[in-house]
Amino acid sequence: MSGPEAGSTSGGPVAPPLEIHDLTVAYRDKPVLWGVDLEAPAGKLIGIVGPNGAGKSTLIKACMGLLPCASGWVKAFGHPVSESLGRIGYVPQRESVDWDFPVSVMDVVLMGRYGRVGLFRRPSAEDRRIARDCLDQVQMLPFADRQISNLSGGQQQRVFLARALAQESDLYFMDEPFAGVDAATEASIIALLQGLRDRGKTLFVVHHDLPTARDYFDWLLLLNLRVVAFGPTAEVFTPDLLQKTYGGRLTLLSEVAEAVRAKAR
Amino acid sequence: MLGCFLSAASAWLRLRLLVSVDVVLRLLGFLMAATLAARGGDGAGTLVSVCATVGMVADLAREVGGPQVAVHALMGPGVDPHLYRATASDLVRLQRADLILYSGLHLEGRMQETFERLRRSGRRVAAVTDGLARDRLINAGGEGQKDPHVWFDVRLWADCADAVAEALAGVRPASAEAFRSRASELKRRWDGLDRWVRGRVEEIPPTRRILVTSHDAFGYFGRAYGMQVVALQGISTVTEAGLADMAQLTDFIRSKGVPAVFLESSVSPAGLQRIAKDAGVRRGGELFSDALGTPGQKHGPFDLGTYEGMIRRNVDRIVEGLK
Amino acid sequence: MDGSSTQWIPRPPSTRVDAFRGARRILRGVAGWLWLASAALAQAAKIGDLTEVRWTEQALRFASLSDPAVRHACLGTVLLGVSCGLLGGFLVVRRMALLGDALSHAVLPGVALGFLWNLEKDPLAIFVGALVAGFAGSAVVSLITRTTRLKEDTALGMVLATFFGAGLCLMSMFQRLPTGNKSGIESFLFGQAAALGPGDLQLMGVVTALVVGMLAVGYKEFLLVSFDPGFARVLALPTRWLERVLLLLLAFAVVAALQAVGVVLVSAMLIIPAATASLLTDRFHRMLLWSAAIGAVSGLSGAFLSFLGTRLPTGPFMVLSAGLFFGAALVFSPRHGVWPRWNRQRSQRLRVAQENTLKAIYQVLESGGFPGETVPVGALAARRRIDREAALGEIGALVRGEFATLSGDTVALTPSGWQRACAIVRNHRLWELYLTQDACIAPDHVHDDAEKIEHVLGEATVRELERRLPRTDVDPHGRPIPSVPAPAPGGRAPGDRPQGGVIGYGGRP
Repeated sequence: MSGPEAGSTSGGPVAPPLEIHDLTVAYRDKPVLWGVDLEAPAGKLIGIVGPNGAGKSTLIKACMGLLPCASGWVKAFGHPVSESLGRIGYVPQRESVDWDFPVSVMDVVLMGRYGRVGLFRRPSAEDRRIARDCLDQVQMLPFADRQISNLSGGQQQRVFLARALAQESDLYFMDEPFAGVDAATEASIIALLQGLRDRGKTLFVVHHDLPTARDYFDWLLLLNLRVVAFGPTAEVFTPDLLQKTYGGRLTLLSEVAEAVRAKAR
Repeated sequence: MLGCFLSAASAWLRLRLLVSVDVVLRLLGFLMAATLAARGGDGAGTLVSVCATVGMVADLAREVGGPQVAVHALMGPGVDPHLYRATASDLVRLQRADLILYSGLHLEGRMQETFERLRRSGRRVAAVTDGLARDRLINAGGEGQKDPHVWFDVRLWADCADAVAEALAGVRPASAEAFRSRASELKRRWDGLDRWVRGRVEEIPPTRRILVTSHDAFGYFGRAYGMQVVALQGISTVTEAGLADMAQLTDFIRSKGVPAVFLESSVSPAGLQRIAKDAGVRRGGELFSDALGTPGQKHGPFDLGTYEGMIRRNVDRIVEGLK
Repeated sequence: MDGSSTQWIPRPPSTRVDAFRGARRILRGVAGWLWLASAALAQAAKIGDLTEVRWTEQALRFASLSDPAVRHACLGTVLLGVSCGLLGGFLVVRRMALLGDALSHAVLPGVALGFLWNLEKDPLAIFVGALVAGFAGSAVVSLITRTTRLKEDTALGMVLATFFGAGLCLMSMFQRLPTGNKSGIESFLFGQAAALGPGDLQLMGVVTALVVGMLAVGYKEFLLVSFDPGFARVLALPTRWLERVLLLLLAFAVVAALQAVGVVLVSAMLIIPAATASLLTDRFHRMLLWSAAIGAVSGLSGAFLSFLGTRLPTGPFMVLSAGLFFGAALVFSPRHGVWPRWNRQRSQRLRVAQENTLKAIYQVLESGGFPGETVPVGALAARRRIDREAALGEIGALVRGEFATLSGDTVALTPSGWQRACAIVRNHRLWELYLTQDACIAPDHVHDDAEKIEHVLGEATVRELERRLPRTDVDPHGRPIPSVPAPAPGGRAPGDRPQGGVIGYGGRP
C-alpha cells in the first residue's frame, strides 16, 4: 500500500506530490470544475480559496476519486491517484458524518490506521500507540473514551485531524478544517499543520476566511470554477486576482455553465 | 413499544389499503363482466348453465340435473374454499350462469359479499344447505355459527339434493318433475353408500376410532359414524396452529394410542407432519377434506372427481389406516 | 365446547340382520360410546378446545424442552433473533430502517415464484427466489434515485408497496392450483414458527453462522463503511463490495426469518432489538452484542408466551416481547432512560434545597456576627421567609443528610454541614465577584445569577476563579468570602486566604 517515498534523495526527477491535468467535473449536467491544471510543489501548506460554490470541496474530492471526472486526470507522486490512495490523508467536512454514531474518539482515530492494518486484521498495540500519540498532538487525549456526540465543534475537528495524522501520509487534503472552530483551536491547528509542512508533507486546505489565508498558507490556489491563480501567497494575494476570483456571480464562465445546464434539461 | 405499534399499525394500514385496492379492482371487473354478460338464455332446448363453487356442490348439481345441465365448478381439486377469493374471470362466469349454487354456512368464507351482490343484481343464487333443519347441524364457535362440512354425513348431504332440485326447478320449471325424481333416486342410491360407510367404520376396533386431521372438517363424519375427530386447526383454515396446540395434540395422540394421522389434500401439511414425527405415528394417507379429487383418476370403479368416489376413497383410507 | 346436547346414540340395527348380530353391535356400540364418553367428549373438536391448559404447567413444560416442536421453535427463534439483531444494528445506525422494511416486503413475489418452481415448499427454491426479488427491489430503488429527483425514502416506499402487491397477486393465483393451498404459502405472511422443520432450521443456522462469521472477521471494515464511507474510499477499502455484502447478509437474514415471523413482521425484528440496544450503550460493538442478545431473548419469549395458551401465534408475540424490552429500556436505561433521568433531577433538586437551607443558616449566624453555633428555628424561618412548619421540614432534610442536628428549638450544624455551608456561600460570592470584576456586570444584577451558579460550580472552576481574581476576601456587596475548609465552626475568622495549594473545596460527606 505504500508507494515510493516522495522527495527521494537519489537526485533523479522527483514526481510532484500532486499533478492535475485538465480536470473537469460535472454535477447533474452542470459543470462545477472546468479545466483545472496544476502541479503542486512538495512540502508546502497550500490554501484553496474561492467564493461559495466555486468547487473547492469538489476539487479535493475529485482528486481523491470520490467524485467522477468528466475529463482529465490526477496523479499523486507520479502515479494515478487510485494507486496512491494509501499515501493520501483526508480530513472531510464535519457535516459529512453522523456524530450520533456510537463510537468513541479513540475508535475514530484508529480508523486512520486501517489502511496500514490491512483487510480483516485487528489493529495492533503499535497502531493504538500511534493513535494515542496523534490524539495527544491535537490535545484530545483526555477525551479518548468519550462518545463523539459529546464533543464541541472544535473538538470534533481535532478528532478528524488526529485521524488524518494517524494515516501517516505525505499528502493531505483538508476540507474546511477551521469551520465553526474557536480561535484557540484554530491557532493550535495551524501550528500543527505548519509542523507537518516542516516535516516535508504537502497539505491542501480548503479555507473560507480570506484575511487569515494570507497569514496561514505558503501557496494559494484561487479557484472559481477554474483556476484563477496558483502560486506563492505573496504573488497571488493581489487585489485584481482576488477580484477575478470573487467578483460577481455573472462572470462569463458562470453564465455559460448555466446555459449548458439549462440545455441539458 | 412505539416502534412495534407503528410497525404493526403501518402493516395493518398497508394491508387494508391493498385489500381495498383489491376490492375496487374487483368491482371494476365485476362491472365490466356485468356489461359483457347481459344475455341470459333461458330458452327450452338449451342446457341450464350452473356455476357451482366446490366440487361436491357441482357433483350434486350434475346428479340432480342430469343431461339438462352444464355444470362448472369454480374451485377445482386441492383448492381451499375457506380462503378462496373470486377473481375477475370467476365473476364473469358467475354472471353468465343461469343458476349459482354454493355450499353455504360460510364454507366459502370470502365470497359472501360476491353472492350478495349477485343476488341483488337479479341472478339466481342458492345455497344447497338452506333446506336442512338447523338442529341437524353441528354448532361451531359462538353466535349461531354452524360447521359447514356437511357433506361428510352422507344422509345429510343427500337431503341437500332437494334444495338443488327446487333451485333447478326455479330456473327450468318445465323439467321440475324430472329434477325432483332424480333427486329422490339420488337419495336412494346414497342411502346404500351410507350403509356401506357404516359397515366399513365398524371394522375399526372401537378403541381406535379416532380421526386426527389438519383442520376440523370431519365433524359430521364423526357424529354420523361414531368416531372421535380431533384436529389441529379449527373449522376454518384461516387460524394458525399455535405451539401449544401442537404439543397438546402430540400428547393426545400418544395417550390415546392413535395408530395414524391423516393429511388433507387442500391444507398445508406442515403442522401435522411435524406432529406425526414427534408422536411417532405413521401418516395414514391423504384425505379429501374440502374438495374432490381430480376427475379421471379412479378409485376402483369410482371416479375421484365425483362425490361418491371421494367418500369411498376417504373411508377406505381411514379404515386401512386405523384398523 | 359448544354446549350442545346432541349425543351419539347407537343406531338400532336394521330389520334385515338377525338379533344376535344386532346385539353384538349394540354392545360394541355402547362400549365404544362409554369409552368415548370417558374421554369427555363424543364429537369432533379442535385440539385447542379439547384440552384445558394451565399456563403454569405449560411454562414448566416449555422449560423442560421435552417437546421436539418446542425445541425447534426455540432454536429457530434464537437463530433468527441473533441474525436479525446484528444486521438491524447496522440499519439503525445508518438510518436505513426503511430499507429493512422495504426488503422484507419486496421478497414476497420471490417467495411465491420459489413455490411455483416445484409447486411445493422447497426451502432452497424459496431462498433463491426471495434473494432474487430482494435484489431486484434494491436495483429498482437505486435506479429511481439515480435517474430521477426522487429521494430514497420515496423509492423505498414505492418498491415496498408494488412488490408486496405483486406478491399478493401471485398468492391469489396460487389458490387456484391443485397443490397451491398445500404449499403453505399463506404462512409466509405472518409466519408459523410452530411448524419449523429441520430443513428450515438448517437454513437459519447456516445464515446465522454466515452473518456472525462475516461480521466478526470484517467488523472494522463494516464499521468504517457505515460511519464514513468517503474516508473508507480514501483508505482504498473496497467500499462498494462491503456495502453489497452487507445488503446480501441482510437479504439472507430476512429470508431466513420469513418462516418464523412472516413478511409483515420481519422488519420489527430487525429494528426493535437494535433500537433497544442503542439506548443501552454508546459503543457500536457493544450495541451489536446487545442487539443480538435482545433479539434472541425476544425470540425465545415469543415462543414461550405462545406456548402458554392454545391458539396463540408465535410471530406477533416475538414482536411484542421485543417491544416490551424497548419500552423497558426507554424508561430504565441508565444513560438515556426516563426513570434514571427523573431520579437524577429529583436528587439534584433535593441537594439544591439542602444547600439553600445551609446557606440561610450561615447567613443568620453571619448577621449576628457568629455568636455561637446554633440558630433558633424561628430565625431560620424568618430568613427563608417561610413558615415554621416548612422550616422544620427543611431542617428535617438536613438532619437526614447529616448536615445538622435539631435539639428543641435550635439547629446546629455538623462539621460537614458547616463545610458545605461555607462552600456554598463562597461559591456565590466568588461568582458575584467574578461577574462584577471580569465580566463588568453591575453589582445589583449579579445576585440571581449567582443563586443558580452556586450549586453547580465544580472544584476545578473554583480554583480557577481564585487564581484569576486578584482579591478574594470580599464580595461586591462588601461581605467577607469564607474559605473552605473550616472544620471548627465558631471562633474562626472567615476571610483567610487559603495557604499553599490546599483549597479543599467542601466535597460531599
